[in-house]
Amino acid sequence: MFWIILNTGMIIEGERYITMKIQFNSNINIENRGYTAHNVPCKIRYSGPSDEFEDNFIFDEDNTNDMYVNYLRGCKIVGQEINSVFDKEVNCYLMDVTGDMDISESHNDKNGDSDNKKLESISLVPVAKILKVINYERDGNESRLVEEMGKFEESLELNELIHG
Amino acid sequence: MSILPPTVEASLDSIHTKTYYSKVPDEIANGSDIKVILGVDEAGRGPVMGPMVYGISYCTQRYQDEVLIPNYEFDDSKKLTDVVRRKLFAKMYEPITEGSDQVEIDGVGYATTAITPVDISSGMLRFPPSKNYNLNEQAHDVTMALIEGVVQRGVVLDHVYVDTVGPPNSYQKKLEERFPSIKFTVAKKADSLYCVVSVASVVAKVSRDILIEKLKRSSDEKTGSGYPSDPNTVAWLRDNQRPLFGWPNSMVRFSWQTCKTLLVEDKYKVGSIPIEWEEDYIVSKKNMSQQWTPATANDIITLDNWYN
Repeated sequence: MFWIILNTGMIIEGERYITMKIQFNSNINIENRGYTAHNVPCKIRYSGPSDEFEDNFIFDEDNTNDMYVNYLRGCKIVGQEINSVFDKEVNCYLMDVTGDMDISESHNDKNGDSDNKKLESISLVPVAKILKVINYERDGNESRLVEEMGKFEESLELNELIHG
Repeated sequence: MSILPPTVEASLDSIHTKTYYSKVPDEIANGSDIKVILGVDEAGRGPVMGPMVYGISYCTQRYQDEVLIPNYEFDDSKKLTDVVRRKLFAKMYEPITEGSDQVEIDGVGYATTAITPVDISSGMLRFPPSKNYNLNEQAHDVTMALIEGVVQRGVVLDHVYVDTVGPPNSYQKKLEERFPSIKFTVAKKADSLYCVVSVASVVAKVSRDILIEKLKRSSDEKTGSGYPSDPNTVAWLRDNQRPLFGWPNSMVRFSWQTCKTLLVEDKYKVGSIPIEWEEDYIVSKKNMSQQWTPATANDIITLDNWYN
């Protein structure tokens, strides 16, 4: 059984990568099995289980240059593994929101600018352990895939400089 | 004796486009200063299911005029029955006697390229739309690659006859620019006018028909001809549609309007899951910023509403 996770937020465990307060409920047992998450370049209006992956979501044997090739409703999608940029001590989970989000009404930053609302805390539970995350773009648009990976790595480096 | 055509063997169980070339006939391989003519035709351009097969055949002008035309009933493949087509093609690849490599129609060389539904759809559904590889371009490229393949095998072509469904003039010019030493005749209904094209037509049609049969996942599965107008094909699409992926990508051309309509309208009530692609928003009146802005400007952007 596979899960479509596109419409579900993914959170990476480890305090230095958390930008909001997250109550990580570690008492809940998650499946021992690890999953691969596929971040596809479309909006799938469904969240939940599906038994269609086994017969339909099969990597193309022509995979080259560490790129993953797959097909979704006739569209060729080309993907690259994201988690290769993390260090090995980072774990990745599929998370689900439980309860209400705690939202404060106003917030002033040091420049005096005010946000109307600010998310203060959120309660999440891990649903499944993700062993591999693959980010895809459409065939013909691979340049964006490279750009996104570059920006992601830059973001991690900045995060490390600021919080690390 | 009934064996699968080599053109079919080459493409079986592949989700990607495959090409097969027969051996160059001895008369052409060993001869010099002979006029070789070549015909091009396709089968399965319109169907929503199965591959589109491009076929070529070539022989000497003499072999066409003195052997093929007087002795065999090659014609536009659609005018021949399935049995006649298969019988004619078999004479080009089935040995006359078991164990020998001698065939009855030994003066004709042939080749096919079976463009699979996966390659047709993924080419036509590239993004951004300016990168689309439309069916005409795919057809032209495959045709030129097949001709090039014959030339690379040492065959000196004199005249190539091409059956086309599109505008003949621009296509003929394109071919003449690519192969300046070869004469070209590009015409509609060329399969009825030139015997060598009729042979190519039979090769392509028989190969496609068998490939369609081989797509069946069980012996009693009825896929029909693959044309959207065929009731059996319509019934197959209805019975095999799944909510998320639609149909097996090895069988169906998702780039066909028939598929798009069934997936969006969920005509058969299979619970088809809406999937929106970036190009769906290109025609939207909202600009990109408006499309991604939450319904209420003051709402907090969360991962959930960002992706929804």
